[in-house]
Amino acid sequence: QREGSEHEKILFCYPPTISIGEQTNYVGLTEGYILCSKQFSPNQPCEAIHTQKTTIGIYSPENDIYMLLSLNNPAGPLGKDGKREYYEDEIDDLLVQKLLQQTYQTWLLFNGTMNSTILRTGNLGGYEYLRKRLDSFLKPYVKMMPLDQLDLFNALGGIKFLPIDKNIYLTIFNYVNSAEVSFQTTLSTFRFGVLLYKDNLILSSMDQNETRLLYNYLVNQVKVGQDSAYCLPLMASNVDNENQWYTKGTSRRTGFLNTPDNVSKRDLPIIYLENGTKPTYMIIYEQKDTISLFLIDPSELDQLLLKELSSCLVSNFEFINPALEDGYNKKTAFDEQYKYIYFNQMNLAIKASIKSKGAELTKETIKMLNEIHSDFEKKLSSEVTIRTQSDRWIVAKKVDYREFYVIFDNKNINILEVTEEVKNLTSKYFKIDHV
Amino acid sequence: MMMMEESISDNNKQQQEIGQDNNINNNNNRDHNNEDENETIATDIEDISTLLAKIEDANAGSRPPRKYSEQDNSNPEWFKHKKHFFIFSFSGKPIYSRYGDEVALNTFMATLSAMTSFVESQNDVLRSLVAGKHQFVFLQKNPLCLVCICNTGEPQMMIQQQLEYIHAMVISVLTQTNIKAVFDAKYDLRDLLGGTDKLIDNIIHKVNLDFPILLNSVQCIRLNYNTRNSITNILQNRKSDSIIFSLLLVDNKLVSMVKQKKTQTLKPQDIHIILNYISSSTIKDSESFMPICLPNFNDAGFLHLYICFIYPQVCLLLFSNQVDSFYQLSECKDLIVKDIESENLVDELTKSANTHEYSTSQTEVPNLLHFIYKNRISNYSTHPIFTSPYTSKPEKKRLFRLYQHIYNRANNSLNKPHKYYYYTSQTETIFVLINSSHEIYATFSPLELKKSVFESLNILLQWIKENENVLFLST
Repeated sequence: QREGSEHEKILFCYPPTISIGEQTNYVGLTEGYILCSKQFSPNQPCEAIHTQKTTIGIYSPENDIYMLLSLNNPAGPLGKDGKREYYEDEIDDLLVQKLLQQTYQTWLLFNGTMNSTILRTGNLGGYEYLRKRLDSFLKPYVKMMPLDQLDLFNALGGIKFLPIDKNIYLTIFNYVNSAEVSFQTTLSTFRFGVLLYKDNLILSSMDQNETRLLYNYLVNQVKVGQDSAYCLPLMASNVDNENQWYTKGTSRRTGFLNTPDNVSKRDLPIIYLENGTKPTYMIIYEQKDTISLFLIDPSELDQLLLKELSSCLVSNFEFINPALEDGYNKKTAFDEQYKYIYFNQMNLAIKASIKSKGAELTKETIKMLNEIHSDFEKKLSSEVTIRTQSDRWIVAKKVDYREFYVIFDNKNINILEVTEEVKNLTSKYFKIDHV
Repeated sequence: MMMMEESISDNNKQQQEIGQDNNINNNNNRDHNNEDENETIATDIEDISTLLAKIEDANAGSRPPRKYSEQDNSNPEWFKHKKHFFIFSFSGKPIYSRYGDEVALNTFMATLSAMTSFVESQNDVLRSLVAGKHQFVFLQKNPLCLVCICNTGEPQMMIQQQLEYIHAMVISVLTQTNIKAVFDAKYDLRDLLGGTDKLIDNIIHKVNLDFPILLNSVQCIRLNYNTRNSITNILQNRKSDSIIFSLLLVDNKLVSMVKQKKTQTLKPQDIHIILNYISSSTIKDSESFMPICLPNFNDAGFLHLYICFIYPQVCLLLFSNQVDSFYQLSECKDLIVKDIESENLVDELTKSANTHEYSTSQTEVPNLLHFIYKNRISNYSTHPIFTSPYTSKPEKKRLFRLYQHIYNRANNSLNKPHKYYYYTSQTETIFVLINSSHEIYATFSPLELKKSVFESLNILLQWIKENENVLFLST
């Protein structure tokens, strides 16, 4: 469960089945721990609590606001003596922190900062209003969080880029640019945001953090590029100037997301860019697995005619669509050979042949990858090779800002051969220099 | 002196009420020449050295002063220590603090106690808190609670192991049943643990740099096979029925260990507790006799330990389960010494104290900077001395912490430990190999190629195999 709490006030708690008594207990507990640990570590307050049965992460995104996420430790079966064995080391602290941060970032994107919400609606009931907002916004979001399948991908938070050659890139650039320009003459704040094909990013005009946020929203909530028969997409929609979640029907179509009739704009969500300060309207247009995202200031929204925008986007689409499809298919073909994850911290690019919830990621492997990543983050090591009891090899390297993980399941290979293979793989495909 | 005897008899009274009657028998052994000995035997719970200090301090009636004992949590300096240890009862009464006087830290310990009992009320057990670089690690061993607050970056598992050692230390002074009984009867445990601050301080100091403890093993002294064999035979021959274990140590490392048939072998933790007693004591040239509880052997009762330094740095330990066996054991010692002298082993024995250490260059393994090795079946370990580039104190500490970190990584898997763990950073390469019979952690320069590291490791394993009977006790 999780809650955000300030002073003695609980702002949000999920699951709501927890009694008020217990909730206040948690608040008291956290405050006590935070205070006590502050005496020893004034600059870095308490960020994790481990008990036998739970792992708890604490994050304070704003002044006096604390977010707490408590996850149950995996446990073995009930033994004869009525006791269970708890696996206390399984959940990675870094991962829990990342989850809290991502949750907050999503809130920030769609609602602005919590403190500003309190101030803004002071007259209409400050904290009460915030409580209601948190409840309606975070509850569906938290429900959808894949808490029992956390792995390295969550920790890295990378973006998949689709590699395309120069000409195609220019064509696509032209496509969005012409749309932008044709509207900007009358609406100066209209601008391009991001372009995705399935779950790959093609183009973005926004800064890295905002790109990542929008990418995460589109891929993880809206579930672009995933067959919507298997998973329910969640989308933000504007209801009375507040963003609410709703689940879209399963049909994929061409048209604007969030607008039932391609004309009315009242459902378009507002997002708060620039760290939650600048409200902007987000317009998302979907065509055959390609998603284009545009932004416009609230002041100019009325003047925008959605019909014009859609016809503009559709008319030039045939030029870019086949190229995107091609590039995507080529990419997936290469992936099959090795089991790897590559991540570049500088541009957040992630390339992986291992699927996020794939079978290769056993609990043990997930734990090891998390630990290695943690060591890389603390600059403790630059390369690790492990051969597990089950004869699985994991090789991980970090060079500059790039991390690379490979898994081999070959029982008969020895350490020198493994090194050779990794060397070939990296120099051929990723041009990582070897020490 | 008067005060001394009063407090002794007070102690005696308390112990009687708990059900111990060891001292009465010991009080009868007054025929020894050494006056110190009398006092020692009489107060069998208190440590020898602190007892002497108490005699000096008789007027003050206080415990010997420790470094930093004037600090408490109102002093900002106190928070800056890298590693704090605390022991308190589950009701929050302070028992021990590494830095500062535990009485003054009353409120602080009460806070810690509240933190743990809160979690307990939810049917859960608090393990640790993380705040930036600081960790608060808790170990509940009802009725005691042990806490470590540190910013050394050690893995949580290691700190828990260290807390276990401290707890084992406390048990060794009192036995687990007594600890429970004291609490049930609502006595203050601190009175009974009176002189043991030094013991706990020492074991804390040791767990921070001792490789054998890190590997949960015991280090044997490097001694040539024949000498060791002869000594073992002597110990075997000179046993009596009441002797459960006989140990011979040189420079606090194991020369030989003999046990009664059908007894389990001593676990490494117990041996380290014994070593801690020896190294904490300042009397090095006479006999002493004390009760000691070995937590892994039997945590409910005392064994009686006869200690005698038969030569400088050479220490004979005889464990008996009979409280009045002092004379018997002393005679045993005499016989053992006679045997050792008659077989001309004295020189070898005394020399080994100074010559047993070896360096990596003696192994003739190319590129090796350092290693630690443990035989998983016998639980014996070995390691060379620190050589360049690990010559300064911070570097040695850093390497120790690195071994801790890698030990944790290699052994912490859901399944069994990893077969290989190869780790490179900007400062060194460490190659770990673990199988069912041994584990080895070897350090090389970071610039070495995998091929040469692998080859060197094999050469090292070969060297250890060849020198097995010199490095370890034979099993």
